[in-house]
Amino acid sequence: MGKKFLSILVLIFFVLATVLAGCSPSKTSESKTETQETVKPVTIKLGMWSSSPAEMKIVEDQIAKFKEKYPNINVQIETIVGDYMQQLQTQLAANTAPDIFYLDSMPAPQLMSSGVLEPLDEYIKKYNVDVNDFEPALLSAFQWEGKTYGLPKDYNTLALFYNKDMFKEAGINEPPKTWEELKDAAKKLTKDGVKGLVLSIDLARFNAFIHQNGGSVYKGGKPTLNLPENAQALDFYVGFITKDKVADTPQNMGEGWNGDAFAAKKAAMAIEGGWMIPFLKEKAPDLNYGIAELPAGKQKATMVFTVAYVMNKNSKHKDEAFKLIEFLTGKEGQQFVVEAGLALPSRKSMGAKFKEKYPERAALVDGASYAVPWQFGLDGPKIVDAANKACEALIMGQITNAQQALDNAQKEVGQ
Amino acid sequence: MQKMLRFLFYIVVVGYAGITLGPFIWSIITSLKPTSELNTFAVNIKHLTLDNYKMIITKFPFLRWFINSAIVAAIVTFGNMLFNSMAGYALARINSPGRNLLFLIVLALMMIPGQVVMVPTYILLSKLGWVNTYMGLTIPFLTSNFGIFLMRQFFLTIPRELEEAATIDGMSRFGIFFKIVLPLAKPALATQFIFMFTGNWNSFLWPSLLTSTSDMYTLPVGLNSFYGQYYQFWNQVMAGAILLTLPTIVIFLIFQRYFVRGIATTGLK
Amino acid sequence: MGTKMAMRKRYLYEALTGYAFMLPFIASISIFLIGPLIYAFIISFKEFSFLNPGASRWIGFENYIKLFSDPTFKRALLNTTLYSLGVVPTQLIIALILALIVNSDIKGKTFFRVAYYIPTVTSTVAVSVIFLYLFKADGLVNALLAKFGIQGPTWFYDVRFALPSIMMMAIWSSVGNYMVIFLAGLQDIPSELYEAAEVDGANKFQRFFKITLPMLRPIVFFNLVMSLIGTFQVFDQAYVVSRGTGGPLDATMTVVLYIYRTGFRDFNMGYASAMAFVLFVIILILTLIQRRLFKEETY
Repeated sequence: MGKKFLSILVLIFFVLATVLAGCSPSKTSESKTETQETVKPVTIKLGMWSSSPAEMKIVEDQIAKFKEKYPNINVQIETIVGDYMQQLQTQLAANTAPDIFYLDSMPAPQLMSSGVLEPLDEYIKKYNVDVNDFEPALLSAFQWEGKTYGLPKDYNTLALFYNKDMFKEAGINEPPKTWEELKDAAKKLTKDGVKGLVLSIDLARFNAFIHQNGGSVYKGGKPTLNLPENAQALDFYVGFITKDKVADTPQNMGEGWNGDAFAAKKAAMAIEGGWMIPFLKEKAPDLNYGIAELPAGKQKATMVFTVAYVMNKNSKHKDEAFKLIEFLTGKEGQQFVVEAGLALPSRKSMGAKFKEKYPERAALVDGASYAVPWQFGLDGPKIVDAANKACEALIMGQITNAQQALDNAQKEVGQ
Repeated sequence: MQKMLRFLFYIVVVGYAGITLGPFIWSIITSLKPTSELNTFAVNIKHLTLDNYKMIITKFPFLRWFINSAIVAAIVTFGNMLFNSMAGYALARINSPGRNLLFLIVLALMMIPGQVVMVPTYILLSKLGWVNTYMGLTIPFLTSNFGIFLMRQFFLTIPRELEEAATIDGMSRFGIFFKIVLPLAKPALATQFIFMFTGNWNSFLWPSLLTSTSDMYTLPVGLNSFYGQYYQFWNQVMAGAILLTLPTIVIFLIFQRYFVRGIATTGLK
Repeated sequence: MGTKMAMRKRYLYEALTGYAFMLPFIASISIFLIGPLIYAFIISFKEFSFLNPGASRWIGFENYIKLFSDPTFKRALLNTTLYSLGVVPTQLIIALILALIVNSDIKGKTFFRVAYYIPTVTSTVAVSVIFLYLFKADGLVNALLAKFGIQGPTWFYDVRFALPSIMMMAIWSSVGNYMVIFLAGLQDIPSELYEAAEVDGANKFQRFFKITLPMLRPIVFFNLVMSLIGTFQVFDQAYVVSRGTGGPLDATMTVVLYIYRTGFRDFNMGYASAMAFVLFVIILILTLIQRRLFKEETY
């Protein structure tokens, strides 16, 4: 390994060095040909996270259609591999971020308030985009201090997934419509090692119950974790597991998440979103299930999760970038979303089409009108952490009083 | 009694090997399963197939990613072998003022969690225009504090009598280092090679930040972009993982042969 | 006078040679590491977000002061310390034993070397899938425990067992690396020493404690320091198993996981940097103590 080894390594090094020199793109020749054309084609970079092949296909189809309409605008997809917000934050700081990119509603306030995004209002006016057609709950998630920063591309709401066979066996004819009915159903369905309901320790699920009870964890720009309505709702949610023992967490059932437990027929009901549909088709193709709206408490409520396209403030081709956003979130682009049936189209007019095409999934669309967006201002992540810990402590029996757990949570958020 | 002990010893040794190999064997078997049998833990030997491997190699620019990884790993490993050994030797043997401070710096730099220097380093590299280039993937990683520390400790264990003899013979430091010390340090060099190659080959965070187009991806980044799409298909994910792991095992197999006693002592007699 | 000049000349030459040997390393760290490090140090005294560096505000020691009353940080520090206390000795002892085994003349030496090394290169995805499968509520381990009438916990999701479960996983997957280093270190011990000891009638254990361990001292120091740094910076396992939350109830929240969440999820890089430097000081002090204990010296 001494001399001979070293000389081989040196050799490899030089060979590679020459290969490298050959590999680097010769930019000079390319730029010459560009200048000969009258209209310079521009390239817009589109940043997204790596997603299912089906979702990739939607974006690719949309872009192909876009290209037909705007032959001079090239679109280059940049898949952000790894942790999305970590990488995006790094790229934004170094000014290497894509022109337009996916943004989830939860971290949106941070980005909107810090001035890294381009406000779209001017372009919306200029290109006469009909923003009133968007579901209001979706659009409002991307508005900050009177300005609009993103146009929602699609969304998903929570609904009640229920096992039809188990319902039949238990003699329940209809999915539950109220909290009482939900509890009754769960009691009847719990037998032979099967739980009536699978519930995860996740604000993204129990916040629906909080709103059904007239509560809220974030109000008027402030965390309001310990409202009495919230405590009541959390007590009801946790009670399924701790008091009535007609529900359990997926982890206690030996499963990764609600979907697994539902697919494995360890629970008769689960509260999840539209992403369950392709998952169940793959994992449990024989499962006979239905989708219903979430049962109502004092009022109807569900959660809505949405992702928008936003524009980088430092984009060099803002008009072209906006044209792309407009197309992707417009009726033509949304048609592909309807066809694929993975997530729901963000425009009301297209939502109607979705319901026509997938009548059995109507509950997901219907929820949008009374849904609460998954967003709690600048301290969103902290509120989620604190609320989840409160729920966890209750389920694990470390605290028995929901009000006390939420008081602690409120203190932890620092208000 | 002696025989009993020996038997027990072998049971423990083989048993532990079972524990360490288990997950790896599981991932090989899973990678050979057709999708329809993913949910069952049982294995039907007749149904095992290489389709998952074919799918990864043909459907993705696998070869391109592999070549990128190979180029980057070769350059980085070579740089580290040379530079870390030199620095490690100087820190162990050459009496330059401030070398203790420099050694402390080597240690200290490993103690800062990378998460907080990541963004400024990335900004620096992007200002240099190195994002999405081979330069960015290699040059910042040509030395490693881990490697320097490792080599320094190994050089400390090598008897210094040989070097002293060579100094008397009028050999220069460079001569001593390349002609006497390095040949003596084969186990250490082999260790360093294994760690530098494997570390760079599997490295994900920096390559994923530094590459933005698929044609520049290294293998872990490419495979991760594919995991994101196919995470429900364990068989394909595992096929990718096995393809990624194989070169590191081959490297280990080759270099572990240098872990043989006796070489360092020949000159002492 | 002449010899003194020559001595000084030689000394100067020696010093310069040393710097020449270290030049690539010094150049590399001064360009790529020191700058960003100073930057990170400065922002630890600021309220700072990379999304909007222009709006950052100098707040002096406020971040550092806040740390000592932050219950999550205290919990993370406690978890990390427990993790390190559990993992460091266990993994080093197992690694040394394995190294001695695969360095001996057992049959199938190469096979065992590869087998013991393989966990370090097995895909983390595969490892976490297997461990989560084995240790899930109705998994194999609990089924086995049930045979002895023991009701097993939910391991990774149980407040008491989550951290030990992660420690187990970490030991399993990292022992191979330390074994390789010990193994390489064993090669450098001159066999004459053993032969001489044998003549003196020393048994295996005496030989191990009187020759192997002392001769291996620089390598033991290396492994100890690396293991300490590695465990105090534990991130991957905690991140994968808790899906980045540090749950259940902060049972797997480690300092670096908290740094990561503060910096990249709460966009508070100033506070994250302050934590990083506190962690740095802790690791540095522990390393210096070790150095003292090992009488680590340059020759």
